[in-house]
Amino acid sequence: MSTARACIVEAMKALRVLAAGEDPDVDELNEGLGALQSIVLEIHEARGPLLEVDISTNYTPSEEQRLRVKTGSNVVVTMPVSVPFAGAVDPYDYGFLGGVLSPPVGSTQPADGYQTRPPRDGARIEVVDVTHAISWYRGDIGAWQSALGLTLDGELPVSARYTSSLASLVAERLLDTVGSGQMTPALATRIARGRTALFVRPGVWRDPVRAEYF
Amino acid sequence: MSLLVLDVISRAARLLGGLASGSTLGSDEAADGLVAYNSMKRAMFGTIIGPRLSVQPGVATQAENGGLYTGPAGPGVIKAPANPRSGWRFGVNNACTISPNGTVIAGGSPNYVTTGPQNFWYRGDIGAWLIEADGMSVTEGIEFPDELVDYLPFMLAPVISSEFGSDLTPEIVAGNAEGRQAFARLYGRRGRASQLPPLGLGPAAAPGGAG
Repeated sequence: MSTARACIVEAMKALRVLAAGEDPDVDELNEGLGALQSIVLEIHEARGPLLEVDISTNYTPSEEQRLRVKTGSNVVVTMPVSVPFAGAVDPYDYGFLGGVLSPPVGSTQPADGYQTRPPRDGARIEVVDVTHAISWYRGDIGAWQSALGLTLDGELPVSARYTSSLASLVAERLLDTVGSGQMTPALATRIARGRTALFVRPGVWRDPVRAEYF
Repeated sequence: MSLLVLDVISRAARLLGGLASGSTLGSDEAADGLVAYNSMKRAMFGTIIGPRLSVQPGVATQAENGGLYTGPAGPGVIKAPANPRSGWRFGVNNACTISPNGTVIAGGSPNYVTTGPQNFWYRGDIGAWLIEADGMSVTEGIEFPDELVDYLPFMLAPVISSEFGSDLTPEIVAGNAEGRQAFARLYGRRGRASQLPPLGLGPAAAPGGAG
């Protein structure tokens, strides 16, 4: 289980607020949950722009899209369980061909005939309507998880292996409110490691940038 | 050694020199002692027994340790905190139904219906949520485990010392402090590290006895 509660407890133990075998009280849980939600949104923002898509009918998005539902439309958004193998347009690569038109280097697609794959771990989809929804894909459980409205016993929107990284960032936020306000070298190291794990996109394949002038 | 409330009051009076061996308390003294005992007990909750209660907004269906909630009216229930530890507390400020969430509450395992505001604390050695309530009679038993009951006369003695016009002896002061520590060890949350004293006991006394 990779729950918000587990994450907050780990953060408070990192702050040495909780001794072994102890649990936070309700005020500390509320503080922790607020911090956790802020951090998740911060990561969402830091991972870059999404491809904007305006929809007015039922739609199944690909990963890394922000769906803007036209006013007055009543649509059903179906979260994808598979997306095109070559991936979507990378919003960073303005001016260059996106991955849609060519399979990635090293792909076995032409040989084995695979056309789709599951969404990447950490892939995002945002829906902007009267209500706002943000979902992240968790590769470890193969499911989209809401990144808004986190609850104490709900699953986190990141894979379980990132729970500790997220906890270190929560600890950083709680250092002054719940903790003693003193940063130890061990905690600083841990926060840096967690930040790297969550804010850097390791293993994301990217086309070699090449000019196509002619 | 299970003592009754009357035994605790009597022993506290004897420690203060206000009651001779073999003598019994008068009914007025016992009644005053009961008020003092209840007053002392109330002051223990949220200090050396569990956290203080903090009002939570909205209507809740799941309680957490330290929360004071409005439970759902009608058929809904509010669940007691999951996996409770000794000394955990929660409360409701309205008439509602509480699910013990796998434990025992107010002496039974079915849902418990409150008629108004009520607070609960968890006694881990018997795995039950108990109602925080005043003792109604000096002939009642005491809801704390035996290993703590022995400290209660020492803890009550300072509360009633002025009524009995007695000074506190060093033995009573030491017994009171030891009793508070014993309660806090069992029902309070430990500090930032396991080797520190439990929260609720306040900062360590300064050298020379001040603080």
